Amino acid sequence: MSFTKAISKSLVSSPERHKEADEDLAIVRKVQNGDVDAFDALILKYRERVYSVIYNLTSNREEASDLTQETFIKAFQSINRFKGKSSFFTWLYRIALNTSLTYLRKNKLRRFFSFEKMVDEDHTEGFIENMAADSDSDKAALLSELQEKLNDAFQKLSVKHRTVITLFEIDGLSHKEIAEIVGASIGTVRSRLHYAKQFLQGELKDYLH
Amino acid sequence: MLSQKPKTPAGDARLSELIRLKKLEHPETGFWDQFDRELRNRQLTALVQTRSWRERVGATVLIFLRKSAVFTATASVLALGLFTAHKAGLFPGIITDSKEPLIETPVAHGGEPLVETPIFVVENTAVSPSEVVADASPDYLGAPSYEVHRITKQSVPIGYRIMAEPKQFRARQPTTEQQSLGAKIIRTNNHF
Repeated sequence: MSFTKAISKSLVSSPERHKEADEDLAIVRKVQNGDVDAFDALILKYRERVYSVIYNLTSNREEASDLTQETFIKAFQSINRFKGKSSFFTWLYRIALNTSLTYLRKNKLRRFFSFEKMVDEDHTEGFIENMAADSDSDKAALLSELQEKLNDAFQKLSVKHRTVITLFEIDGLSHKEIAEIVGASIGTVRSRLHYAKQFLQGELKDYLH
Repeated sequence: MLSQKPKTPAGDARLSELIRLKKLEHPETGFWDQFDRELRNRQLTALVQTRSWRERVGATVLIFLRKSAVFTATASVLALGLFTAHKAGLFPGIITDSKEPLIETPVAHGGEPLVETPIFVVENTAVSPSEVVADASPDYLGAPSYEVHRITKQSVPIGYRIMAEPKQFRARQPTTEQQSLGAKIIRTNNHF
């Protein structure tokens, strides 16, 4: 396991995570007591993560924006039903996932893809630089090529497998959290993750030397 | 297809790094401003469109009716099927009511009656003159006796069913005016 991944996983059950959940719950209680503006803090906190999950599931940035808004509206409308048995973010992710799945089911036969531009950031510099050094391509071209291959491979995965790989690798959630969100056992999540990784290894083998 | 290539820890780590490149897919500048504006509008619209308790009750009742309609329709179809099968005599253990006029139980299907227009076969059952004499009623004397068999054909799922319902009557009219009974006489004999 890489260092960044280890850090990411250790955060899952860290005291920071619990503190975060408590803070969310305090905001939720405020909203439930009539302070509807307090909900903006939750939107601001989670909008990018929710958008990212929905975007990676749908592979359509316009629809992802629309579905993210729909997720927050649904959460807002049913906030009084949130009892705090799970963390707010787990509850919110479940709404996001159900919203996405409904969309994918309805548009099974007519799906359009539109991707965000991949913007290079400092923390990937080493990884991309190394890959670029190994190939004849320049960095920008390699990034573009990788994005295309990655998205192609992602689209070949089933929704179930795409969901777990997105939540685990991109969003950094633990197996337990993913299990809570998707409503499956931890074993099932691990199994789906294993299959998804094996599949992606096959699809992206040219970039895994 | 699933690759059968065995995973290695190094390959696994590299794959994770590769997948996490998808984190670099960011919305453009200004996206979140527009997102917030749109979400605010939708939130306000959702608040305004919050349904009253009457509408909620109405919607619940409507959902209940929709769901129960399926059961009602199924039960109706089942009942109709059983009724038709019963009438068609598909249940040999069940004796149909013989008093019930079969011709009066048409089952409409596509607007066409399953029971066809009856035809009548009239049988001259005139008794011998000595027997006639035995009946002293004025109406009876000298009147020929007929037996009408009302024959109908009823469509049933496996074919046709001929139903004959004998009716005894004594005609006061002369034999040549038998048509006035409203029956189409297609045959008169003693061997029906």
